[in-house]
Amino acid sequence: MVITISVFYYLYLLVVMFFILYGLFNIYHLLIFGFFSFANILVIVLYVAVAMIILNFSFTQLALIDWQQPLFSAESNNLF
Amino acid sequence: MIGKNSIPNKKTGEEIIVHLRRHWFIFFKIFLLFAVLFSLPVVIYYFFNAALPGIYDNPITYPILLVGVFIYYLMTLVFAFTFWTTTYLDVWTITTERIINREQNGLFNRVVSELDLYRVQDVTAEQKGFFATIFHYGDVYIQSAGSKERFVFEQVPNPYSIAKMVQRLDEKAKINHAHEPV
Repeated sequence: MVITISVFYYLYLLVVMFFILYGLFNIYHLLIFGFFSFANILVIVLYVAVAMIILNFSFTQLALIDWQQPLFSAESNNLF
Repeated sequence: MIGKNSIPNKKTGEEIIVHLRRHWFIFFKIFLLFAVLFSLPVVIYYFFNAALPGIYDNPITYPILLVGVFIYYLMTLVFAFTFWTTTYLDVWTITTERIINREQNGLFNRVVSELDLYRVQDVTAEQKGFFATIFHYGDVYIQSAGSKERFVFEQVPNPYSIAKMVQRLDEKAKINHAHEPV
């Protein structure tokens, strides 16, 4: 059995899901309980913009990697 | 979003005097902390580059490091945003009739409470610490009659002026409600 480094990619996808969910909770709170103010809207827009930049950049970079590289092989017991 | 003139169960003739939030320096401290945390991977990058040359060329370690860095950035960003949300949503409103306390204690715990001004017994202002003294922010404690819990305006600007204002409004409210039991 060969475990590839794609496990790290799946781990990243899990973190991205958590990040999106938690971010949406925050935005919901700011929209429901926050005052209608410039600061409130600016922070929401800034957060969404920075999140989009990081996610877009990360997926562009991660797409260049060969995720089928073996991390661990049960036959050889070699890590890395 | 809530309008600035919106308060829960507004009474007839009740006017909003002020909405209080934490001092701007508290928000600046949060920004500074997360700015440092955001720049940390850059320092670590140069450290690894010098200490372990070739680590970024390895087909196994490079993807793992890359995933680690992206996870770090996403977590830092979402925690900074949560920190902002919980701090920004703490609002204390003083009206001509009462004090309304709206506190966000974590993302899933919001407390809204109010106190009639004529029930106020004791008001204390406290400015503690180096930055609090320089930037004039601190806590205002309001003790009410019959209630064990105190209202606390946390890290608000000019705590002494606010305490004086609450005392003045309390005196007025006590005159207006002289016939009611405290």
